[in-house]
Amino acid sequence: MNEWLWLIPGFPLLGALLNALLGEHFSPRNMGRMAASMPFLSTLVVAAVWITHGRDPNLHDLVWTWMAVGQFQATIGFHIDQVTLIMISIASFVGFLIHLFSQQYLAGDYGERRYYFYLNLFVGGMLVLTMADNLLLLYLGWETVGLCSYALVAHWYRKQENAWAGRKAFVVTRIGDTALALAIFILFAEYHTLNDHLLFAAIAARPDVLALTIAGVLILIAAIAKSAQFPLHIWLPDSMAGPSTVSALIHAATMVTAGVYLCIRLYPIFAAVPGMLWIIGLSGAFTAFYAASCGIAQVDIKRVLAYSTISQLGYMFLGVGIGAPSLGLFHLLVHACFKALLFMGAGVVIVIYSENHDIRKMGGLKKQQPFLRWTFLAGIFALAAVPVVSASFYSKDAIIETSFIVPGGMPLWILALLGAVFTAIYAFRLYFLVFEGPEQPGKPYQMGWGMKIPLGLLAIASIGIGWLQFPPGWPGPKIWLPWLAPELGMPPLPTGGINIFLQIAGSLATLLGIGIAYKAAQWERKGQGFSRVAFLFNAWFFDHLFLRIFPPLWYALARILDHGIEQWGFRLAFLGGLRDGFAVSGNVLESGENGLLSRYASGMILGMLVLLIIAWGWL
Amino acid sequence: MIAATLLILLPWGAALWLASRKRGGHHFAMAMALLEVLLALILRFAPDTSGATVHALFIPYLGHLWTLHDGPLGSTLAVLCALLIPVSLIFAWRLEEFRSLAISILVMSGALFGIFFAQNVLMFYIFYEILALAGAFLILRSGHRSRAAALQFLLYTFVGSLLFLVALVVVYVLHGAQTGHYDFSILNLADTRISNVVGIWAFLGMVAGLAVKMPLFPLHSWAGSAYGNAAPAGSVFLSGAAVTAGAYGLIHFAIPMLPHAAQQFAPAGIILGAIGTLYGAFLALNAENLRYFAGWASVSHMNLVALGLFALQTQAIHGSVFLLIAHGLVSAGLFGVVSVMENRGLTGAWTGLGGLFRRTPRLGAWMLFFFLAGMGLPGLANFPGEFLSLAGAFQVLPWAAALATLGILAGVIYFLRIYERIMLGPLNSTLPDNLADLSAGEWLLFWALGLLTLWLGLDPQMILSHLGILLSVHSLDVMSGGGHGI
Repeated sequence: MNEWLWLIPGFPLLGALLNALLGEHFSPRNMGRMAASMPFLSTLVVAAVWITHGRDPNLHDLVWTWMAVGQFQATIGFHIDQVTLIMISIASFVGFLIHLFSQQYLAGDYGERRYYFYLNLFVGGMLVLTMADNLLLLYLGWETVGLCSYALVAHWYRKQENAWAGRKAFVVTRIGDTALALAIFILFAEYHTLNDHLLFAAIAARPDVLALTIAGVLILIAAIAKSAQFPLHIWLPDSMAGPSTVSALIHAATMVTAGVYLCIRLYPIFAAVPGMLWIIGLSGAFTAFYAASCGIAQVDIKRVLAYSTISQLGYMFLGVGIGAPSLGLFHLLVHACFKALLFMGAGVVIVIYSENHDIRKMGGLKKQQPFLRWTFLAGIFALAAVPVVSASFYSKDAIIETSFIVPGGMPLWILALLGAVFTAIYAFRLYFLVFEGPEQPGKPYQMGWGMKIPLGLLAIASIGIGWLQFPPGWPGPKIWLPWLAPELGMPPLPTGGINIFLQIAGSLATLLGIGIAYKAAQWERKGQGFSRVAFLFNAWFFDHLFLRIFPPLWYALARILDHGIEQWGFRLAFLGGLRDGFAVSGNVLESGENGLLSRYASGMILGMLVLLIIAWGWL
Repeated sequence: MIAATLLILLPWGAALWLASRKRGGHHFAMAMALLEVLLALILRFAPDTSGATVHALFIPYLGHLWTLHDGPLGSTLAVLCALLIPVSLIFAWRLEEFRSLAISILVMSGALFGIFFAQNVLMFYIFYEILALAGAFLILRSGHRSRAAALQFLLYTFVGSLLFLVALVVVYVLHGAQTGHYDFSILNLADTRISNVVGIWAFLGMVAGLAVKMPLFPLHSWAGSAYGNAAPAGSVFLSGAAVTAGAYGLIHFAIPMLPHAAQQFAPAGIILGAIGTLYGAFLALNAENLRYFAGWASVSHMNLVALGLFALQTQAIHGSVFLLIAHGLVSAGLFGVVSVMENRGLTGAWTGLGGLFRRTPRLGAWMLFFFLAGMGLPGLANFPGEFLSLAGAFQVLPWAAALATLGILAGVIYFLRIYERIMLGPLNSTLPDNLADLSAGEWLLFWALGLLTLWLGLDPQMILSHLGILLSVHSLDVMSGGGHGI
């Protein structure tokens, strides 16, 4: 028992509560400082966990019993193991950096206190989600971060389309939440427990393949919706309507990785169903390829990054699907660093160009903003997985290489490698268009230390954090996989000649992509780039398709039920016509609804008489 | 048990006094309301009263007509109802029809307390009728003064409760014939031996009478016009407190009297509840104004309560009762928001709204809070109830429970769509310039309701553990063993 673990989510939640209670009495400035100190305090507690139990963490803290009815037991209880420790380090530390960055970035905006309330609540929810020791508490965190995503995407609510984008994000992810709730019902009905460890023990003892298959599919749907995987990815590009800091925190570093986390956490369920893992891998590989292909045609700086996020999350799912969850988690960490960096950098670029997101209208920013340029370039290196000197090379490429050697992995490898080419294209196309080429003047903007420190730290991580785990056969530390092995096992890794071939293939894919990107940027400036390919620009038209089909169907059903059933069925057919029943009521009732009541009443009384007679007969 | 008697009679006395006055009475009504809260809290938390019984008014062949029994479920629901009296009075404070609203709410609350403590089924029935009359009076004398809506409500509940009475008399006569001892006490009637067919018919009659008040799906039609026509301040009490009478009657009287019929009815009840949950959600999405919207949201939740009840399963019935209580708070918050908006001259028709958050951020924040509670966000009150109901019902009839689970998705769609229409987007140019945000009193009231909602959401065990003894005996396994709980 470690009675202090609750402090980790407790601090940001306290911050949100203080903000709601007292926010009106303080300036937004001070609320911002208070809000930023909360994830910092959480980070300190997480650091304490690392120092005291970093080698082999296995901590537990039961705070109180949430619900207990019969066999149904759900606690507010926290658990920390290796996977959780990584997740909470990202959520608290990257969360803190983004709070810090927001101090200057959001200064003077409307709704600043509201922004910090939801940002704090978000970090708290994310920490609850990752630390929960049972599925129901995980669900609480899961929904809390969904709410914060909604509120922060719709932060600039005075524009209709922002509010709409927030709603779309919440509704689409709630498809997944519904699936997750159903999965929890099935698991509880079958195994009578929601506690992670008891559940896995029960599954190992008595695997019920049918129940686990249905539950597994439902959990996968939940993960796909939350992590914006094909075909439920449609909310993420629109969610870019929120502030860039929000995109950095929620739609890159933390919330969208919750789906990957869920799959890693519930890995035993997937492993117990034959073929399930391969489907996860296929889903991931296809999404990685699909979203990267859309990314090369986008002209909105944030939409490029949004499709990039979808694609990178696909690689993480691929990692889980090929039986290498620890590599998936590795890429999750790397991606959190470089994508948060890129989104924050993009936020500054957007401010410089006065809220214009079109990268075709940008250019040559390297002279005006050297610091921004170098940090952004570090993030681009990591995104494109430039060989040796970027973190992704050690995480993403390791996933691609491993997919080649697992059974049935060849199609996954091909999709993933094609995706890698596209990734390098859109990453460097973005960089060349914004920072190189003829200079397009923007507003002068001076970043303070509160913005430079987060960018600098994340840039260093984007380059260097991959050195935690060098490929087999290379000199250098190999810490990551052995450290996670007690919990996630050692993934299969290619060795020898095949390894060299795969690494060269991966590196060539990146270099090829960079070469194409150089030309693509030039074409784009001439107005004949990839953005003219409508199929890619509109993301294969999936969003259009869904919006044409599902919302109209739903609304039509609502109208049919209202007008068809309620107004006609219940009001008229059941209750219709007064005079024949009770002539008296004619003057009692107002016109329009004439007669409904008395016919209904006469019908009911008649029915009652029939009932009486029947009852009488039986007695 | 003097407290229980006082709890029932005090509001009626207060209503009489109010009715005899020409004007004013605001502070008197509020004082009485707070006194009721105090009494209800004493009854619920005083250690020695629980389980005590009082007998009075013995009438041959009917038993002790005035039999009060202090059970855990009744006293918990009594606290909820008592709390909602001052809440709805505050929302009604500035209305012209404050006095008639206060009178009907006080009469209704007295009837509700009678229902919650009655141990004699005939006594229950009488209070139930009084409740219906007072409810119709409330709909009639507030808001649009729609006689049609009031009459519809009255007819629905009256006809329904006549069916209840018939079914009750059948059980009563059978019991008398079997034992030679004619008595309406539930303790005796619960031991009646009833053949399957008669049992089913009798149970259907009782469901018609009790579920109409919830309202369960095919019997729900009064709800639309009632909530659409009554003043929202009255709907706070009507939707939060009055509807609990039907659910309480099912748990405390109908199911223990006819346990085997209840078991046979279980699948039908679950399916009707599931349909009603989604039906209410879709009608809320298509609602023409804010009153109807809040009303249909309430109907949707109450059908989920019915689903949990009829599942006759331990988790489900606990969740159902918890949702009943949570729904009282959340519905009070929802109708409270409607009431606050109407006090500012906003009729709730969608075309006149939009971008309101810019003018009234406090109201916007609380509206979002109660919308979130309504869509079952974990950590707020509705969630434990919804989740337990569905998880329990899922073990009895998986596909129907899965259908009702779609309500999670439907909830987010209708709540957020309406929120966007009212609060977000560009400011509607037709809105008045001098729109005031929440006053200090309203602000505090929302905080009180909100903190309660949060508390119930985070520590539902506070209520669940208290209900444990009562409700576990309602589950299928215990009932098929022959025992049934009262």
